[in-house]
Amino acid sequence: MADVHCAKVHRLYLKVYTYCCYAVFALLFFLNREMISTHEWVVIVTMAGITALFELRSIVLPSGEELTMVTPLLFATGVCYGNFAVFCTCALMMLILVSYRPKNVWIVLFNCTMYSLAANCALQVYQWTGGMIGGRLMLANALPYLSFALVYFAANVVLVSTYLAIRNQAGLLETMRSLIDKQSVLIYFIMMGFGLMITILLQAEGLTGVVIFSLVLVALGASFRRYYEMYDHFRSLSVKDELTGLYNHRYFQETLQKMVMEQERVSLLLLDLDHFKVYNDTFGHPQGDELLREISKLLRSSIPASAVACRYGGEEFAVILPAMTAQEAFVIADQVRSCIASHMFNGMEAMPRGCITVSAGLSTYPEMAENKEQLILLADQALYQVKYSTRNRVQLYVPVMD
Amino acid sequence: MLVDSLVIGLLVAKLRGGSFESLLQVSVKGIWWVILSFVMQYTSIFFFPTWLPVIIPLSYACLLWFGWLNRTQPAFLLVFAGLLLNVLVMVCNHGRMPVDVAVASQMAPQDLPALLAGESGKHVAMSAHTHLNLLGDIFYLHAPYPHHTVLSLGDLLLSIGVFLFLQAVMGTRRTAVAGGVVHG
Repeated sequence: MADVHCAKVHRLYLKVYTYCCYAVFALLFFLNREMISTHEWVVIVTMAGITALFELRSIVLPSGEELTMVTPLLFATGVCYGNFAVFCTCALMMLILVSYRPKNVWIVLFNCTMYSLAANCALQVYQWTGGMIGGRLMLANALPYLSFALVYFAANVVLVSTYLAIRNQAGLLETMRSLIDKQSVLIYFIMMGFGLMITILLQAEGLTGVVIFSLVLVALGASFRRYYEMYDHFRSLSVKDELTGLYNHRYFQETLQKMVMEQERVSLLLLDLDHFKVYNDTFGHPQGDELLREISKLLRSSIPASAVACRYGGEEFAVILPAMTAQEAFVIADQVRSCIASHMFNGMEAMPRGCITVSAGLSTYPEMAENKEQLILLADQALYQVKYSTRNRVQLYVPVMD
Repeated sequence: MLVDSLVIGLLVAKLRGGSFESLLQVSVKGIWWVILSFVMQYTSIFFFPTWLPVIIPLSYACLLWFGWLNRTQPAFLLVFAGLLLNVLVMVCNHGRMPVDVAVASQMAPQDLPALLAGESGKHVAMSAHTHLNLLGDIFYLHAPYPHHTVLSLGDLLLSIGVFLFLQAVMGTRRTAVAGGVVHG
């Protein structure tokens, strides 16, 4: 009850915070309003179009980071045409993105508001430090440019982390720290280099230069994305089993080896599908494959997020359970077993017991085994104790001497 | 500009692996409204210029109706919005589209006197007396673009709409590849 109340309060805080941001945006828009010439309007529309395009088709790096040119474009617009032009650009970008993806209306609204508020703070400091709106780009103005970059970054981090801290009910400083990692700061400052470049282009060549430069970047981004997708696909193929989508045998061996090498506590669960040969002989291999796929799905859904599910081979599966004692692992193993035993599978009536079941063997490191091979061997021995007796059961390894 | 976006759209879609066959399979409703609209516009500009304030809104109404009939087609709402903006600015300026004088003097200096005298087809020189100037012909496309042309915001939306429509209906050769690695 208290939890529900707490969640409600947090949702309320989040709403208050976002509406405050929108109100500040609207107020600043109103206070900064001025007549715009047709030339400025052409620049604003073009910049809004390009920023929206980059928001929709950002350049994805193999690390998963996304490069968007929104900040550099807002920097160039602000430095050349001032605050109101930045507000108009953000508002138009908002309009374009919302009409393109109406479902994302709140995300778009919030992001665009953040962009414009951060740019507004940065432009204020830019002017305080001697930067001129519409002035030529000069090396002597390095301080204002640097202050723009720093203040924009700081304002953006503060605004976004406040939102995240309220949403995730986490500490503000912690959230800020999680946003500022070395790589993202580096990428941000490289992007600000692009900002200087766009400003030079805008001043020397006008919009044509900016449009051509941006289109080239979008085209490059599109072709890179294709390669990154391929890279991702091949990476996935190298560690995954194609039929079931679980990790493959190689990945299983590597992961387990790494954990044992680092002397981390780990439990290993080996599962074997009972009477799979009967199923295959009765319904054929394609339906057998389908059964393996369904079992894998159930397996994935019934283990914790930290666990690693692999296809060991044939109808055998392995689950690595990091940092788990034998007793904790046993509870999870039994959940997996009963989940499969109670599931309605196609053709289960043809099986010897009228249902699909698995047998499972369990061992744990470092209590039972000294190395990876022994860990696997012991889980395998436990599994075969079940296989040769009742099946549909989980067996923790017990030495025969006992 | 409509022709430009058609040509660029077809070229890009083809380069992306689209097919002309799928374009032929698209059923667009009421294409006659477009033809009627063009006939009305050009007859009026060349033969009955005094009727322009009436004919231009009428011809645009035909185009708008065409856009609305096909609103479920991909990107047609963009086409519709573009047309609507153009109609709005032309209705406010007695059937004529205001054009930026600075742009017009760069693009076609020989036509400038006629434009300033108010005799240049459906265009009128932009001034403090024309309305909604921000929706007028102010976007000047020039080199390296293959030819000089001037666009309004409505034209821009319409062209993007046509481009996206062609990309959507002609399809691409690309096949989806499997996604990233998922733990579990």
